Amino acid sequence: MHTTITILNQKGGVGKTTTAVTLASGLARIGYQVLLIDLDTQGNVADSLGLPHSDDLRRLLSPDLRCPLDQVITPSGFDRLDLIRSDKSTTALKQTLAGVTLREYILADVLASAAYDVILLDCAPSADLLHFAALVAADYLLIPTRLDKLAVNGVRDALQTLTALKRISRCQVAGILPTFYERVTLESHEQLIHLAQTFGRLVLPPIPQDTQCRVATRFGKTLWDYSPNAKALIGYEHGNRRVGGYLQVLERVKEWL
Amino acid sequence: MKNDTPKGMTSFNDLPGVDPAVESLLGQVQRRQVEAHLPKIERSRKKKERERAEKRKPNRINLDLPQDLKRRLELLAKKEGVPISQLVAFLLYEPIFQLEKRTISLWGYKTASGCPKFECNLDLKRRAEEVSRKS
Repeated sequence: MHTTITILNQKGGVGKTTTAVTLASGLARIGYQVLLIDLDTQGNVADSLGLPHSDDLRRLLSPDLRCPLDQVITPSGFDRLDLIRSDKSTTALKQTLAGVTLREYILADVLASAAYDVILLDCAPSADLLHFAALVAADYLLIPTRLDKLAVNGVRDALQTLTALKRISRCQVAGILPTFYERVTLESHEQLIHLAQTFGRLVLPPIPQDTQCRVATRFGKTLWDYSPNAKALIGYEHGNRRVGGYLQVLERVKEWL
Repeated sequence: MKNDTPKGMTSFNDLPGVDPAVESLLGQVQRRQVEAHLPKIERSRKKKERERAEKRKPNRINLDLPQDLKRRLELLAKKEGVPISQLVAFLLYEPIFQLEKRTISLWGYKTASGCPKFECNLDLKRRAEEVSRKS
């Protein structure tokens, strides 16, 4: 039985794909069988792992193709991590699915028999059909957000969408992940306080702003491989400890599995 | 009542339960902000302290040791009247040389790691038992 985690925020550029790729590869490295599905027409998950784009998602979900799961899965090149890639054809897929009945269940149905420990769904920054399907298929929702007003509004929108789907989704909000955190700017601090006041324990350890994330993507490598000591992974030095970073977030994610 | 919070900054004292990492980051920022509002003399003293700490950084390393080992090191350092870091450095020279020259090996102590940063962990319990048996 797998655990499905949807990574979603209707605001773009908040670090959804970086979070999805880093957590997926991190979980795979510690022994979980992981499937990462790109639901975004930009196909950036493939870019982040140095692979070409492909219409895997369309072939899996399109009612006239309906390829079996094992025929659309691509090995990522990393042990225990598989992918379902996406590309521009996903736009056509969304149009096709618009006329299908029970379309919100389409992902949940095809993933029901997937033999993985964890399935991560990387959503597009828009409230579309695949967005709803991801929330219906998921056990947990992880909302990455930049620490600025507009992105934090995206958190509110994501929660509203989830509430609207309450009748057909068993998905729970597992965490809100502050990304691009800069401890030297007052605005980051204020927005983090605002999040913590509103969502309390749901706010996960923040991910420091780190250029290494962009560089790793350029080389098509995961952060674990490209820069294992990157601030975004190991967090800030704080006395004799480190705080924040994906390593700490991974510990929290393991608790959900 | 006097408000101690620096201007333009929200206090986080009344937060509901939050993740310990979030709390500690917020505390760190708040301390920096408080420091920025200290009198000039105090500020420059803090700055010097920080610079001194910064200079020591290349020599520093944070280690998680088994409690028993930590306690024994503390006792030994106290007994010998030497700083604990110097005692650890003294004790490490030989095994490090041996490991570099491959006269000792970690083989047999490596176990799978639950952390993506490392390939393996070392079975320290086994090491402790073996050393105590040998001696």
